[in-house]
Amino acid sequence: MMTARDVFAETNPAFFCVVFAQFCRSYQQAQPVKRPPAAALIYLVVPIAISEELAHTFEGCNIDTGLAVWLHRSPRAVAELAKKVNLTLEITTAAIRFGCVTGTLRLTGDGDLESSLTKIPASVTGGVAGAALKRARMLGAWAAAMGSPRAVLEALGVSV
Amino acid sequence: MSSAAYIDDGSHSAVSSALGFYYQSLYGLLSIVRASQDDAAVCLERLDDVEILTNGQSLLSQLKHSLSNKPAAVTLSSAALWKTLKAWIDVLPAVSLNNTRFQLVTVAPIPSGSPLEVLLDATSPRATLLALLHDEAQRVVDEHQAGRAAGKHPVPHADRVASCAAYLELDHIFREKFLSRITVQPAASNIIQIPTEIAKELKSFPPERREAITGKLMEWWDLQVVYSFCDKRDRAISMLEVQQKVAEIAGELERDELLADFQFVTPPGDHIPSSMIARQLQLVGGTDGEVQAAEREEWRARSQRHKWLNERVDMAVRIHRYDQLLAEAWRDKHCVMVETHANATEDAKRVSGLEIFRWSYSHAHAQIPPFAHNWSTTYYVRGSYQVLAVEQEVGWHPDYKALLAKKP
Repeated sequence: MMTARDVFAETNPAFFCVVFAQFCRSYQQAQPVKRPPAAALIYLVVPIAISEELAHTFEGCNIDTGLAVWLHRSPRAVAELAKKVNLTLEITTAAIRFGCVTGTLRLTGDGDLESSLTKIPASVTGGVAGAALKRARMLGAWAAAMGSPRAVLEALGVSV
Repeated sequence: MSSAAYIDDGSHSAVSSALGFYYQSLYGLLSIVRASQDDAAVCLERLDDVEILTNGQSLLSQLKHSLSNKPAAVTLSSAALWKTLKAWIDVLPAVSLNNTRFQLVTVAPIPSGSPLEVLLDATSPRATLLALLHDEAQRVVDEHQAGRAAGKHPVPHADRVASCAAYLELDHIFREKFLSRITVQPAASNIIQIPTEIAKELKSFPPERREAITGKLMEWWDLQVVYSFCDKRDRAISMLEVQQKVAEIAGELERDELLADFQFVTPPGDHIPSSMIARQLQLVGGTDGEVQAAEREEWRARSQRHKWLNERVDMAVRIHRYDQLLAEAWRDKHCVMVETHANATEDAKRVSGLEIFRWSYSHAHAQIPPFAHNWSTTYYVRGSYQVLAVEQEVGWHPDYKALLAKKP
C-alpha cells in the first residue's frame, strides 16, 4: 500500500533533501578541514531541525551558540530523541537516496555526505521551509564545532 | 502578516469589542489560576465583566482593555472611571456591600501623584478622594446643566453626566463605604500578554511545559465560557475544575498522549472538499447528509494529521501504520462483499456498499484499536477512512475502482 498523500506531502524526500543539503553545507563550512558530515549525523536533522516541536528552542540562537549551550538551555530537547531517530530512519534514508539520485547529495568513500547544492533559491529560503533551513544551518555549524560525529551523538544521547 | 491585515476593517469593525470580550474571558482564567482559595470560582458577564467568588465574598471586576502602546491614563475626569462607577452603582441593589468588593482593571496607567493612587491599596484612607470625586461629580452635573440651559451643542460632559448624577444620589455614608470597597489595578497585561501571565502561574510544572499547558487550558476554558452562557453547564467555573483540567492536560502531555485538537472545530467556510468523497458515496446511494458528514470528518482528520506531522515528523510512521490497520479492517469486510456479490444485482451491490461506508462511519472507531491509548474521539477513524477513500485506497461499492475509472 502506498503512503497516504498527505503523509507523503509532509515527508517528501525533495524537501528533506534540501534541508539535509543545507545541514551538510553548513557543517562543512564550519569544520576546520572542510570535511562534510558523517552520514549518521543526517539522521538527527529530521527530529531536531525539521519537526516544529523543537522550533522554540532555537529562538534566540545563532551559528555561534553551539550545541552545548543549546542543550544546556533546552535539556528536554534530547528527550526520546533516540526513539524519534528510529521512527524517522526510513524517511531520512529515502530523502538521502533521493538526494544522491538527483545529484543534490553525494555519499563519499569515507561515509560522509556532501552537498552539491551551491545555492538555495530565495523562493525556498524565504518560504515556509525557511525556518527549518535556518535551524538546519545552525545545527550543522554546531555539530561541526563539536569536533567529531561521535561527540555530537554522545552529547545528544544517541551514541551508536 | 496575513493577507487579512491588508483588508480595511472599515467603520463597522467589531474587532475591538471582540478583543474586549476575549480579554474578559482570559482575565477570568488568569484570576482563577492566581486565586489562593480552593473554593474560588469565576462568572463572566453576570453582575460585572468578571465576577470572582471566594469564601462567600464577591469581587466584581470591570475591565478596560486597549491594545494601544500608550493608553490614555485614568484620571478623576476619565469617562472610563465614571462609567465603571455607574455600572457598580447599578448593581448595588443586587449585592451586599459587606460581602462585595469592586475592582477596576485597566491596561492604562494611573499618573504618578494622582489622587486615585489610594485605590491601589484596599486599606489606604480615601477621605480626600471622596471629596474630590464629589467635587468632580458636582462640577460635571453643574456644567452640563448650565450648558443645556445656554443651548450649547454638544452639551458638556454628555458621556458621564448620568454616572456623576447617580454617584451624587448616593447617601454620603453609603458613598464612603462604597469607595472603601473599590480598588484599581492599573497597567494590567493586555490580551497579547495575558497568556504569558497565565503560564507564569503554573509554577508546579517545568517552564518549557507551561506554554503548551496554557494553550490547551485556554482552548478548554473558551468552551466552558461558551457553555456557561448557553446554560450547558454551571454559570460559575470553579478553581477545582481548572486544577483538574490542568492536571489532566499536563498528564496527557507528560505521557505524550495525543489530544483531539479538531473535535469541536468545523471546516472553514471556504473549504472545498475533494469531489472524490461525494463520488464514492454516490456510487452506493449515500445521502447528502452522509456526504456532508464524511467531508467534515475528512477535513478534521486531515487537519489533525497535518498538525501532528508538522510538530513531529516521526508521527508519519505512526500515521502510516494506522492507515494500514484501517485499510486492513476495511479489506476484511470489502473482500467478503466483493466475493458474495459477484453475481448480484447493481441495487444489491449498492446496498451492501452503503453498509460498508456506514460501518466505517458509525462502528469502525469502536471496533478498531484506537490511535493512541487515550484516544476516544471518533473523527480520526471516520475521517482517515475518507482520506483513504479520496486516494481510492479504500472504497464502498464492490466495483468502486472500475466505476471511478470511468469519467464522471
